[in-house]
Amino acid sequence: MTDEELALAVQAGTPDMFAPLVERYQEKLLRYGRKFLNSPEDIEDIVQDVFVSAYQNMQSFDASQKFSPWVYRIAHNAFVNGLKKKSRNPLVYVDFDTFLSHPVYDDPVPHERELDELKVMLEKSLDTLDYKYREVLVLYYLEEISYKDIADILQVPQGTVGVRLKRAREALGKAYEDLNKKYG
Amino acid sequence: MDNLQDTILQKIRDGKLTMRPRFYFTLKAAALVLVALGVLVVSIFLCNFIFFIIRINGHESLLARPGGIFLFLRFFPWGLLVIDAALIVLLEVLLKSFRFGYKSPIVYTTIAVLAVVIPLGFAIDRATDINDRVLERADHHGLPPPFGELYEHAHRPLPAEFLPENREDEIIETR
Repeated sequence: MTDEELALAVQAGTPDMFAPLVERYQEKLLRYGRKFLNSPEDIEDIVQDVFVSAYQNMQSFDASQKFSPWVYRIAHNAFVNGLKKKSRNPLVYVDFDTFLSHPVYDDPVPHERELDELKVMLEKSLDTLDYKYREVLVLYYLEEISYKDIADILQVPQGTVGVRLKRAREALGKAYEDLNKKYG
Repeated sequence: MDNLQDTILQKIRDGKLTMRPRFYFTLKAAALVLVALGVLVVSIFLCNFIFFIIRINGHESLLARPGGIFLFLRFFPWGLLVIDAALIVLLEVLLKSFRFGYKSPIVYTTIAVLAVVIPLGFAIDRATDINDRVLERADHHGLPPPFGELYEHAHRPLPAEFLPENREDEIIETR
């Protein structure tokens, strides 16, 4: 059964169908959370809250849409709140990339070697990046979510995802370079 | 975390975790639409009222005078404009709750909102006599707040030193 079919079954009153959804997404959401928070206990608590919230709000899920961006959107909000509690710097920022229209490109398909390199860079330098760049890189390269779905998760125009990803790659490259200079 | 699935299912079976009913979300969406429409209506009204103040006090005539643009700006109801701008920002925030809202760049949605608010505000003042009738009513019978306050303070005649020559006698007393 697809995620959407399972969600429909839960909406129709078969709560046991929620179990496979939890099973499919718990590892993904834990991995997603580890890119933002350090404490495993905090991450586990937040992921549990995400599933609680997903179940409570299941009737708001539109089964004609994909389930994945919907649950990631809940996780995004939960982790942003978790980060706000942990961080001394507020995460509220004005994103000028959402002001104007940007061309919407098809998702570029990176070569496998390029992808491997990016993943290595991500693992090493992610902590040094701004939150807004970190998240888009994680969603695209590690969670392998499409531009369109990332736009739904972050609730920004699709063109903004492309621009943010481009800037994030540049920031990542610079951060990785700095790290290599520092530690050889 | 192995037992996350079991924990959640147990909570569901024990009735500690329940789904909110569909009508809750329908009501929430309807409330959001109503609030957004309300903000839009108030914003159009304020815009209309700004045009009304400009018309009733003859501030437009300042624009025909040399250097009149500075006087026009000096006597412009900036306070109302700031409130209206704040309402439009609030409307933008509300629109971002809808799929079409967050999928469109802010500049586009702002232009769309302004394209509704400004022409409608202008049309209400210039193509209807609503404001004049409400003003008359405010002058003679009073109006409940905040309309009473707004319309009673709509008269902002230019001080005599800013009036064009031979215009003092043209000021119409409406009270």
